[in-house]
Amino acid sequence: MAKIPARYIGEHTLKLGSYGGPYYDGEGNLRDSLLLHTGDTLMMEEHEIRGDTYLFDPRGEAPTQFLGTGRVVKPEHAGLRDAELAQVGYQFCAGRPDFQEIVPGAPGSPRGGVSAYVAQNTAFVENAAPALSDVQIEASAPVDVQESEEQSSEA
Amino acid sequence: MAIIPLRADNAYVASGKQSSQGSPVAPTVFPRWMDGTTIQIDLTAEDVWEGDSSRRLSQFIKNKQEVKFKITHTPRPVLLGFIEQAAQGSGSDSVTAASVATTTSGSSNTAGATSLTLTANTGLTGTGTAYLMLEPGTANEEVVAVTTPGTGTGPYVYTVTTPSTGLKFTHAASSTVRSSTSHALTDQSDGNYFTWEFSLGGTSGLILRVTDCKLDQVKVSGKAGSLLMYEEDWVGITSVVRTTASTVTLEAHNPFLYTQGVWTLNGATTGDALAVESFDITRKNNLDTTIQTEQLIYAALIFGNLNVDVAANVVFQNSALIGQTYFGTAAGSTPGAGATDAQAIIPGSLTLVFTQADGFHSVTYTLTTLQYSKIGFPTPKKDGKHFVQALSASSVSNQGVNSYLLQTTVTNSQTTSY
Repeated sequence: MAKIPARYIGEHTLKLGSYGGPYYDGEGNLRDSLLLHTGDTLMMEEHEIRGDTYLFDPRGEAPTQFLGTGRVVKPEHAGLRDAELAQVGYQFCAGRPDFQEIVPGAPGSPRGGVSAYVAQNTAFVENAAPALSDVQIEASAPVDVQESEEQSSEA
Repeated sequence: MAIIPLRADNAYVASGKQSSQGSPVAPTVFPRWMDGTTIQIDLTAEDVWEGDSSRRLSQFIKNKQEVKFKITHTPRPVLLGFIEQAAQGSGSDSVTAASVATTTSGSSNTAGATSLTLTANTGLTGTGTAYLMLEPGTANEEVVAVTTPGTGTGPYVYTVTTPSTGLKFTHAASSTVRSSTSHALTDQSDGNYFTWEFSLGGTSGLILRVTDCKLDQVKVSGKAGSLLMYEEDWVGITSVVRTTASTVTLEAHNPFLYTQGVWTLNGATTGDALAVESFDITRKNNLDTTIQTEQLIYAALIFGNLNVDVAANVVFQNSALIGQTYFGTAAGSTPGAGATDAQAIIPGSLTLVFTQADGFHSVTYTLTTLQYSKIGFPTPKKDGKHFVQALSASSVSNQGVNSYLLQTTVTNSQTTSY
């Protein structure tokens, strides 16, 4: 999974997990502190910011499909309403509401401005790097995902 | 054969509040788990015995599957409100905004300064001490105590009493200054759904995200010299394995200490209230875990009946609690000569306040009407040590008069409702 730059917009200072690093700021520079303050930037897993989509078999028989980051709907289900998608087995997972994606190139930020969208609750970023070739992205947001240095996670 | 070194402490637990059922969210809060934290998927199954002229069990099918987990931790002030909201239910948080919301004035608020200059005095005109957080969420965040009222007609100058060495950081003009926000949480008819994520050994082990979880039971406890502990039992509906760990972000505040507690027991801050060795307050939401329709998993979880029970061990000081519970003696009085079995139940009450050393972060547990169900008699022993009295009580609504069984009031720097 790719990492993308994000800005912390929560109210409280956070401490990053001791073994989750190394951590990089939104410009790709190595962070030298584990404290994350409001407004700080951090490279984070794409799905943590944009959310992701799974398709379950409601009968629990077929394997679950990971459709990709963001909100992703297969072509055969395009046009279904959310309640109908849920019935089919779609599960749209929201990203962290206390982080905002940084869109490179936008004015007013090291790498650009904060994107207008926040991946929270039902307001999904409808942009994805789909895992399956036959999926359809319902809508596309102009996000230029920056490839970061490979980071080990907390695991 | 090489063994993958998966240490048992290579784990995290994390949660986020969902907007609705079936809408998971990437986790935002990461309790610092402690021993006693467990997760399991519980399945219910049945043996299928079919007549095929043999005596062999022919097959076995799953009837139901659910996720059950226990989280043991010492919540920090912001996380504590998050857990309380999960325990008390949807819409339980009644927020009282900070009484002080102003900014620093001028350039005199430098590191080491023993006075604080502010642009406004709203909330700071009474006589006493105010606890203020300067520049919350930044690298310059600090909490100070100041004496009120201040001097001046604007800007206003206040003497910093804590820390005694003055301000820790230099604060530029127009920096944010706030007192704490109060979150009063009371029990509601049903609760929100939460997403929980567990990393057990990371990507080499198992990362499991559990959706549609509700809090079934929570025990708040403490004992002399220790920390305020939370032990929670949760039930979740769906689980999915993930291949990428989340970025672990921990709250950078302190936990609560038992020594920070002040007891008001049965309306008194003396006597037994000064002699509590340990306590626990257990809330049971009694989740309805019987709603299963066409799927293997639950169709929903809903809060059932609410029980709030208190247990404590008190260093035996007097016979007041025995009199109150068994002889109908008024709360706080010891039973006199002739006191005997009585039908009357004399209710008690409990207010327990933990305030951190900074004076800014606190949590208060309020139980308005307690019915003692058992007061253990001190047991004679030849060990030469003190008598201990164990008490058990249930919080009641007093026939509907009280608006809650337990109110938890958290003061912290979170300005929005949980």
